Amino acid sequence: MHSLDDRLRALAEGLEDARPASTERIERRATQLRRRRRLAATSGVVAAGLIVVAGAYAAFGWADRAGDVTTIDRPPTTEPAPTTASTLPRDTTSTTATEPDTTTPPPAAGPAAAGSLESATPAIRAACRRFYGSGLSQSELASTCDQPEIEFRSDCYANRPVTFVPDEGGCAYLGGYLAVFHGQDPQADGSGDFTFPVGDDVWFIHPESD
Amino acid sequence: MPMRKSPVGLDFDEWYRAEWPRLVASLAMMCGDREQARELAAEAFARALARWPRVGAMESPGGWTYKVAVNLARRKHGRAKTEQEVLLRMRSGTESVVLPDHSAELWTLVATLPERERVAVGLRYGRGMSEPEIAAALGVATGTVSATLHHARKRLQVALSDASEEIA
Repeated sequence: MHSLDDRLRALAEGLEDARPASTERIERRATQLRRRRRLAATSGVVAAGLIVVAGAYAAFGWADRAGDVTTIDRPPTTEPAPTTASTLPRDTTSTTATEPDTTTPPPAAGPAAAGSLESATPAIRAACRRFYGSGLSQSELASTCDQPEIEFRSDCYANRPVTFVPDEGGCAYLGGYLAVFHGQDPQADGSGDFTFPVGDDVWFIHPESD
Repeated sequence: MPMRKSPVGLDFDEWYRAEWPRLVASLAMMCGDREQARELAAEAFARALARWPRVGAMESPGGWTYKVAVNLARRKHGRAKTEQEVLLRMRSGTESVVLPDHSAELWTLVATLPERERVAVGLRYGRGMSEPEIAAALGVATGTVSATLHHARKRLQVALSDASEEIA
């Protein structure tokens, strides 16, 4: 009677395929992938330029316009006296001192908006759990996927931290794997190739050493 | 003109021809369908070629390619309701390979293992990698690979003994 190891080896031998796909087919597909990567990289530069322009417009143009709109929409009431201002650590307007302005978002909420590092982290962890699946116990899953030190990088290979950029890609080392999401090419030169919406699909690959 | 030699001098064409049979075998063990394994292997090799200067310089280009193929398989079937449904659908596909009965039975049992165990079994027996090599390819500790393979063998032994009891 053969051992299980022998039987598994025999199975593998039986499954070996002596007819490789044609190298022409592999080459065609590789060329297609290279083109897509170059295209994605070009698109990324254009998108980055648009973001800079939009950012500048937001910082200056929209601020001016917002001031105009506020002036027009706000009822011409007189400002109440700052009676409670002295109880505050800062000299702010009386309206924010006595009653919260519900129309203004809290300042700290800005960086954590959709697409931020904070919003991506649970998705990466969830993908990690899906990736390991039933192969690990619950405690192993927790220690592998819920570890706090998710390390995001500006590209998949350089040792420098990244500010997570929505829709532009990012990587995270998690549980010994490189999680790649949002348009980052997982393998090559940092240019974009694939799109993985956070929370939907995340690749885990073996991190290569730079 | 694409680069066919990696910085360490590994020729893609030679490597590809040498790796293909065993990569398909390990993927077939993992996904339960050799035609699908061939498709996954072709795509993974194309991705390796597209990045050959980098991939070809890695310690284990084969391990990288296998991992990419596994990711492709997972992505393709990631939205399936359950792993069992995926496996059943895979098994219902046309299979061009003819195996002896005892191997066919074992293949069916391997397909019921959890994915992590199937991946490890595919690398161990399909690609003939050692446990430290598998650990390096998957980015996990060698002990984790040992434990995973141990669990896989145990499950298979139990399943095989159950099957033989049923026949008896």
